[in-house]
Amino acid sequence: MKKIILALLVMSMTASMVFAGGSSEKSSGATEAKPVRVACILSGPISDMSWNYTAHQGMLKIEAMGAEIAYQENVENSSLPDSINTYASDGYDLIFLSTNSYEEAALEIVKDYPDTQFVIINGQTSKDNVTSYGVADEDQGFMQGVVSAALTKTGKVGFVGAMEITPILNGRTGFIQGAKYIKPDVEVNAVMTGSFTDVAAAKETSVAMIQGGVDYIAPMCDNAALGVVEAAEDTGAHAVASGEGQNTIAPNAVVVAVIKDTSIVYLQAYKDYLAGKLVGNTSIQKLGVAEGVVYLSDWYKEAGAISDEAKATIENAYKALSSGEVKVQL
Amino acid sequence: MIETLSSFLSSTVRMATPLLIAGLGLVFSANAGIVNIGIEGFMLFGALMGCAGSYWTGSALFGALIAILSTMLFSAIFAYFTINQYADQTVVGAAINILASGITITLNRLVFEGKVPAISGFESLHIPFLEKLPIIGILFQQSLVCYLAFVLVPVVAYVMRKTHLGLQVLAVGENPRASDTVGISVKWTRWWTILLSGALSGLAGAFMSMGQVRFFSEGMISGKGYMALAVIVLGGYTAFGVLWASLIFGVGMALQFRLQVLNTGIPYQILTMLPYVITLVAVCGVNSKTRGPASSGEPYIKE
Amino acid sequence: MEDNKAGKVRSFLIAAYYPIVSILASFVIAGIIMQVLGFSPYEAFKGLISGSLGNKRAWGETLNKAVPIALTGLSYAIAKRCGVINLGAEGQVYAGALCAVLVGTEIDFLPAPLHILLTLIVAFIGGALYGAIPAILKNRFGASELITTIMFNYIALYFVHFMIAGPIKDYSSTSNFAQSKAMLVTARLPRILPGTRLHAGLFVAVAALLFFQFILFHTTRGYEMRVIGLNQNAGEYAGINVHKNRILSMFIAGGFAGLGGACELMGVQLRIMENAFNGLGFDGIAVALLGGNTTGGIAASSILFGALSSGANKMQMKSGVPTATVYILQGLVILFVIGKRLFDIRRMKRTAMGGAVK
Repeated sequence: MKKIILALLVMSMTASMVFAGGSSEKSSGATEAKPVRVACILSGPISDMSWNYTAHQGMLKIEAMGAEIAYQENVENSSLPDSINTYASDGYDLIFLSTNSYEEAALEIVKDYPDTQFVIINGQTSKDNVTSYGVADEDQGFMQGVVSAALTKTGKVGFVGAMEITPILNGRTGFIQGAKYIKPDVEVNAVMTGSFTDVAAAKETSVAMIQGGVDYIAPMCDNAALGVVEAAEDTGAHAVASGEGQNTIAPNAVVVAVIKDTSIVYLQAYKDYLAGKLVGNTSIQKLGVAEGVVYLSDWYKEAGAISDEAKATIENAYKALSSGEVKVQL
Repeated sequence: MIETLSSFLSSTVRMATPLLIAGLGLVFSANAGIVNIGIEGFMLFGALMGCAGSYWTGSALFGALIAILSTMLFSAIFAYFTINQYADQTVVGAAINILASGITITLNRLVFEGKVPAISGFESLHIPFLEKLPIIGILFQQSLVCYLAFVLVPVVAYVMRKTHLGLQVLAVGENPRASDTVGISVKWTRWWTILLSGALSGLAGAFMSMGQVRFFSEGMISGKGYMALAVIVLGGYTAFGVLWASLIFGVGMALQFRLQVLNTGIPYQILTMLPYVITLVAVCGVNSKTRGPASSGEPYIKE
Repeated sequence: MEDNKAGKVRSFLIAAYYPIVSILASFVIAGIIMQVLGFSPYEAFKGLISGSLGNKRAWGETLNKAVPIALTGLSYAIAKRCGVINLGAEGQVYAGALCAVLVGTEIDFLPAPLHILLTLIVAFIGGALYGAIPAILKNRFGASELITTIMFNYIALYFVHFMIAGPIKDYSSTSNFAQSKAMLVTARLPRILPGTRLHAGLFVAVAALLFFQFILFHTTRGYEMRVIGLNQNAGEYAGINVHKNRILSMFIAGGFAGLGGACELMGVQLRIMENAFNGLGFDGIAVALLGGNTTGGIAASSILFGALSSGANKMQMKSGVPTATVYILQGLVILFVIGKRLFDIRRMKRTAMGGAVK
């Protein structure tokens, strides 16, 4: 025990000695045009092929525009203040918070850094140095519902979510309304599996659902979505994927993906920041089908031909949603 | 109805198999006096290596072999620190879990470059005639690894009860000092049981990433390693005990998935508790007081 | 006089040898891994160390992280001392936090000191009762606590998820997230060091450490527990009531873990969200074992763990090393601190010479 105390002492001494000198390096190079420094705090891993993956893609797009970027994955709410403090006190100009679960914890700290602009994805607050951008999860769910209902032969479609959190609840609402929009008498089975990571649970639940007569199934559960589309592949049913890349493991099942590309939201926010639009902004922009954030991928041919009639139905629904003719009622 | 029943059976078997495989490995190491919570990490490591192996070689069989061998190697870390360095087993196990989580996530990004490639998984192998049986026919349409797991049960039981090797393991677990005096190498016995349990956990992990599904996903073991630990204790440290204990858990999982889909109105959080509650009730219902070997968790220091 | 001084330096160096070498070795290996992966180990470690111990604020974060895991560490330790392996701190943390959130959000007429005290007491009792169940099951049915505590972890976790998605959900919040209401201001632990987030949970942890030391080594009960822990049969033979002591040790163990959840809730998180307290219980096991289930050991190793995890945040921020690589470092540190005999120079020499003689 004494030894560990000593080790801590040594670590802290080393810290102060070695790195105290390090801070002086930064003062040079101030004359050049400094790149905008953008940081992003993510709630999950960037490899989830979904929410955090597209966020990371957005950051890469921002980097391609000449900004200096940094990000941190898997940040729990408890360490959020620490993360914000570190980035903001280090002089980052723009900090993205990737989820609305950060919102309340963040609002208490952002006041301390009036010179830093914060963007909350799916947040509810836009004032002072905080701007929120919404992502229309319901649009994604709506289009998944439209495709499922237009193609189903059994009249039963399924939705597999992870947990009862706002984005997924909105997605579920959208799914039900999308399906009913195409076929008012369609039977919708919507469940939550309780986990974003337990792929086996998502798969088994989906199999059970398909055996109950569902022939088109749509996931909205990040990592676990892979389990859902694979269940469809194994049972000969079909799936409407929630992101790109899911068809590689289920080529015969995934007919199309309804992509929710949040990278566009990040890029939009960055452009708005550069244009100075974020200062004094108190509105919350929600981006969905109309803004090109939610869109259909190409039809994946391996999963079988789709009649032109069905394609036309889906196409019309897409147009109706993007023109604002129909709206998801939350 | 028949279809529902047989799909329920199939689901039960699929969920029980990884616990069974890992549990059979634990029959050896646990009886030798090793308490290894690092099983979770072993399985995670095996799950990744199986997928990576299958991705590199294009063959599920080689994937499984790579998973087995590499996890065995990984388990040597555990064996070395607990046996040769006399370190506490639980703390090394905890370190193994943290390490495995770090290594798998890092490797996952390197190997698959953030994509989810299609890999070849364990194909189901239909056994002629038997597969045609009503209801239980589905049990004969499983993958090779699954059959292997069930075939291993009597084998492991025989080795543990009837052979010299098995008796040595039991002796080491029950009284290491006495075993040492009669010429059984405690060190070596514990070493090979850990390596064997490492190999089998690797296969169990590979079954999860190549049998239950066909891809690796970060953190996908989700506590199944701890369940394997529960299975060995619930099964009274015997092979057949492990079999029925993992089946109980499999039933719990399969039941939960089906209840979810029925939209019973029961909140999903309550349904997800089901397998754990069933296991709990089962543990309390077991009359024979399950007791581990006397030297469980104790490092053995030769004098 | 000078001899004395030299002697002190010498004994300090000897005492400091193992931990320093252990930690250095894990840094070197992790550094090599990072280099191979294409990150700068220098930048990474600079982030890690400055982020955990580099300034006052960093120390505050480190201690804040140490508080709950010191408490869950005590939870494992007190049960272990009585021969019970408590893998259930994870669930007991949730049980304590759930009770704390009920008291901390629903009772609105108490002044701060009383409210804080009441919340802590209720969290202790909640965790303690939850912790006592496995002990009762063991006494009554002989159910191994190795299994039951793990099962109770999942049950607590999902039950809390159920509660925050329905019965105690915060419907007033704009985000509609599955989360409890925020703790009332009177039930929050105050900050105790200006310029940092360090909260009064530190005092709770210190008090719990002292209580642990007191009950184990200065009371008859503690003596009985330790006897059972060393040899249950001897305890029974000496007429000690094993069942009663087992329940008591798990009661206190659950209470400690419950306090851990409460401190994290009242000082840092302020409300319960899904998976908010995951990992605290298992970190506690590592901390207890690293500290040899002793008071001072748990205190020191919880700070070490706190430093590693608070520094890890900055490490990724500064160097882009994935958080995952931080886990590798954490795992290695535990392994090498535990396997310190690896670095025993005298033994190495002996082995080398023995080999030469042969």
